[in-house]
Amino acid sequence: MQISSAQHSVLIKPSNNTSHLPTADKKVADVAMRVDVLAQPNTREKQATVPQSKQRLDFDEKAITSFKQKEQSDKINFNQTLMDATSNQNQTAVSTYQVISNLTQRESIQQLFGVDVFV
Amino acid sequence: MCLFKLSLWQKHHFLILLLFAIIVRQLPFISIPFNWLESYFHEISHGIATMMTGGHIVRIQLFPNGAGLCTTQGGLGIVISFFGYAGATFWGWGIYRLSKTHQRVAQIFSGLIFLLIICSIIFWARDFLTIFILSVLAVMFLLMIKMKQLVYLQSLMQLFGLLILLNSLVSPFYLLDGRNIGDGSALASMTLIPEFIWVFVWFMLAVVAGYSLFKIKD
Repeated sequence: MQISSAQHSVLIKPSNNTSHLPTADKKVADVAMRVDVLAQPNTREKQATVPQSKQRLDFDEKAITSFKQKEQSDKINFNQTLMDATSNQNQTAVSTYQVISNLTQRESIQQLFGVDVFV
Repeated sequence: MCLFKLSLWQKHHFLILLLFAIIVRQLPFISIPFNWLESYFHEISHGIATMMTGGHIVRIQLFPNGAGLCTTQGGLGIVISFFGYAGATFWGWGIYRLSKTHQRVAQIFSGLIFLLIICSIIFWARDFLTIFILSVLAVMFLLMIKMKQLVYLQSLMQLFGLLILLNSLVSPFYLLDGRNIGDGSALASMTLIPEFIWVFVWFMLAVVAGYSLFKIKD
């Protein structure tokens, strides 16, 4: 589908099922669907009655691209934030788990070899 | 005068050697090999107790500060733990006692200890530091065997015996540091008898051994 605007034309491949798309693409697709609805021929008549300033739907390709990029960078930032936000409590839990795991390993080795140490 | 000195030596033989042993223990560098000696007899006692109760020695480790480790497999835990300090006391008592009987006995006994140290290096020492410490002890005993004047060898062996005995009299008190590490703590966990009781038992054993040596008539 092609949507024309005064400034740019955007090519959108419509799809009702957008669940397979990544979040950023999905949002763009949603915008496209909304644009698609607005761009229906029967609505054009309505649009004709609407003042020009409100009727016009301007798309800036740069804006969409930057939106996409922002979405992606937000996603990366979110992941990074998640990694950074590992709390001390979690770290303590992990280290405790590792200590317990080592103790279990040590005990199993001691049982395996059956050695005693006298100081 | 000389006769007087000789009689004084013969009369207070034990006390003079004991005083000398106490002085040697206080000397900064000279006391180090004697600490190793006591540590070795402590660990080898653990090892002998292990073998006597059906286990075997995996490894013996000695450290320059006089600490030691004996890693064993099998055997009776209570006996093995108890015979660390008790065994060292027994070694000290035995070295003094046997050396006193005859000069030749002292020489043979120091030869046997030399062989025991060599066996320990071959079979149970696994690290360089332990091998070095045991080698120093082996050289000490080798030099003693080579002594031409057996009377000096006899007195030196008696001094060694007293040094080991003194060490085993004092060293159990190092266990009372509140850290629950060592033979006393191991025995306490096995028998539910508090650690300080075991320390007292070892101390009394050393006192009795020392007293019995003091009472021996020439």
